Amino acid sequence: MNESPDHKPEPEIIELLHRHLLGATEPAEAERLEQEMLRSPRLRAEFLCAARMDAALHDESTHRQLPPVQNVIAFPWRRMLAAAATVVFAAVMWRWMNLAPQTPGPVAAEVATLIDTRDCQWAGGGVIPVDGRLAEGTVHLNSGVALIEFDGGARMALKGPASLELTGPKSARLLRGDVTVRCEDGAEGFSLLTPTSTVIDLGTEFGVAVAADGGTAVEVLDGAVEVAGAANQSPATTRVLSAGESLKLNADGTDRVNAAKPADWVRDYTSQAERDGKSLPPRLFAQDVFSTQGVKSLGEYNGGFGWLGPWVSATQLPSPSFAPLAPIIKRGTEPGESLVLGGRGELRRLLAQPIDPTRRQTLYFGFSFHRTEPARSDITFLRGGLSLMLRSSAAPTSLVAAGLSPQNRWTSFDANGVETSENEASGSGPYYVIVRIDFRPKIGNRVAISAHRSADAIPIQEPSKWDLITRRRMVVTKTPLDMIALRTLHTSGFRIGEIHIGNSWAAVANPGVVVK
Amino acid sequence: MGNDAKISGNSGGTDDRFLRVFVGSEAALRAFARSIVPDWDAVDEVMQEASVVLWRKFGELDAVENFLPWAKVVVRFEALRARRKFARDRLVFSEELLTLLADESADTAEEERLLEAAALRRCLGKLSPAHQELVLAPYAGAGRVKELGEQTRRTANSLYKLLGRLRAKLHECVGRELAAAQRFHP
Repeated sequence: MNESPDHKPEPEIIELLHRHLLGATEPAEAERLEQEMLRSPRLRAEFLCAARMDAALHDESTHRQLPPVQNVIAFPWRRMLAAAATVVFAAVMWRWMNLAPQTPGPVAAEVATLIDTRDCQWAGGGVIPVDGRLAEGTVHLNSGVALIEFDGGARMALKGPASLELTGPKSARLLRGDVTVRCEDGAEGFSLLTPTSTVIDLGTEFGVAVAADGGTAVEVLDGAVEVAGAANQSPATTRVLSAGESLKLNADGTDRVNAAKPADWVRDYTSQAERDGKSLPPRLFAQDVFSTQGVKSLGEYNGGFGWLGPWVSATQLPSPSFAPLAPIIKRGTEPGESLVLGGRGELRRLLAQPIDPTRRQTLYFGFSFHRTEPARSDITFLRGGLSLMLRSSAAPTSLVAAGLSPQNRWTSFDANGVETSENEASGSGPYYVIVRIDFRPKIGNRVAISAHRSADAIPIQEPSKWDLITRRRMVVTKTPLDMIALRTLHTSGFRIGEIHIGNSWAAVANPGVVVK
Repeated sequence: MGNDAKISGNSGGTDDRFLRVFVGSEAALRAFARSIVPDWDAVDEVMQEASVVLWRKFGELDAVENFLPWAKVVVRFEALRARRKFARDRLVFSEELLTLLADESADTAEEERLLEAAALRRCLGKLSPAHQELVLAPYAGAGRVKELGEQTRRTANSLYKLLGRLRAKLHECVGRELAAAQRFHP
């Protein structure tokens, strides 16, 4: 075969590749493509990219046409898996998974999740299950408290009797009743419309009550909000209220700012699963503090607990080794050295207890590290990057990762993409990093990263402000996550002092005193 | 690693292991098949045949982490076999070219495919709603592109030309996004 030199194909030929995939080329065009692709490896690579795009568009089309979860009967996945016994079933599953897409209908977008219910009576006697997805539209709550987490990050406690229209991932309209809204770091900007106003959160927490006549009371519980009068009022008024202030907007357009009187606002935004998690004693599932005791190479080492076997190199890492600890300070009480990694590669270690991501739960990781050569960058002007990943040995795409990017920003990625912190990591380390992974089987995982200088004291309580909280929709992982991987990128190296995996902030913030 | 996890047979408890592994690799295998066969109906046919073979031979697999490359060999065989059938009534590439494509596609790293898919979603979001609808129309059942043509008073042929241009634009955008991601993706 006579292959042509590699050059970037013209846009016209890329267009032709795509039309061919759509079955919309003429015979002469198909023949031309064939000849050019036989000659050019670059064009074949572009065709393969076009074919993968076609597959991704096919998936996207199917995804966009799925009805909201609350309107469909849950598929008995686990039960059916257990019952799987014949190839006929595999074929049935196959057909089920690949139902021909239906013509799209007007489907309301999902914008929030019901994460907790406290004695809820919904109008009409229906039941919305906990963890059920909520689409745009109105919900009527006769009594009780419903805790709603909007996809934009805000949490809302809706207290019945109340009617609320969900209008987007960062907005809702309260028609009557009481709500409190808490917007943690990164989720600011949630707007709540009422018959007489628009309340825009500028950070943290507020309560709003709408009376039967449409009059609205706004109280800032923490932080600040901006309150604008309804658009039909003239002139429109906009005020910024701070914590402790309240505003009454009457249905006739008049308003008055008061010092807030203590009111009966619901201020507990935790789900049952979170309350259960917080009430458990701190526990560590796995730990490695690299207590090497004279061992000098990775192959000889099998220390720590909670593991199934030693660290194994999954790629051609330039010989990982151990080195004395300084300057990292260990948080675990056991002595040990540090693991030295460099170059582009990945080390993996199987967990004794795989994590079941189909169960709603939260895990915490604590690990310390520093760059061996903070100032060194490679020919791409990038320093090294380090990620700690929780992943599956059975499915390479099932993973959740957190780490430090070559640009020195805190980063989290999964199969769906990557997010990085707005601010750079302060200084050059060493760092002690706490990562919280919320496994949310219905709505996708969430990762939060809190970085500390390794020598500094770490707060006893979990912070409300994190260096990074993922906001995009992460992958819903189904395969058991049975291994930890450490991945490094680019030429400069890292030293890792310890890794702890536990059930709470307390377990990994102070692992030296936790009962194993 | 996964080398410890030998597959012992293809009956009893391995059924759900097979399904878990198969489902986990399904998207990658479908994308791989798509690079060889001419349309999505053909992908479905190939995958159905391949899934039966994979299930039957699952016991021969040494470790679950080797499932994807092993399954690609089976899908490749089924796809090239199917080509002969489709070649009768559709414009398909020669066996020589498809063999080259299959070899080169088998080397695509799974993470590369996922990053591309994520980039594609971002790029798709930059198109106007009408163009997004058109780009996804070919997957929304037979006749959807024609329907859109009737609504907008354009011929299906001119819409396919527009589709080609829009997809070339997406293709370029994905390339740009990946180049940018390469700079920071660990």
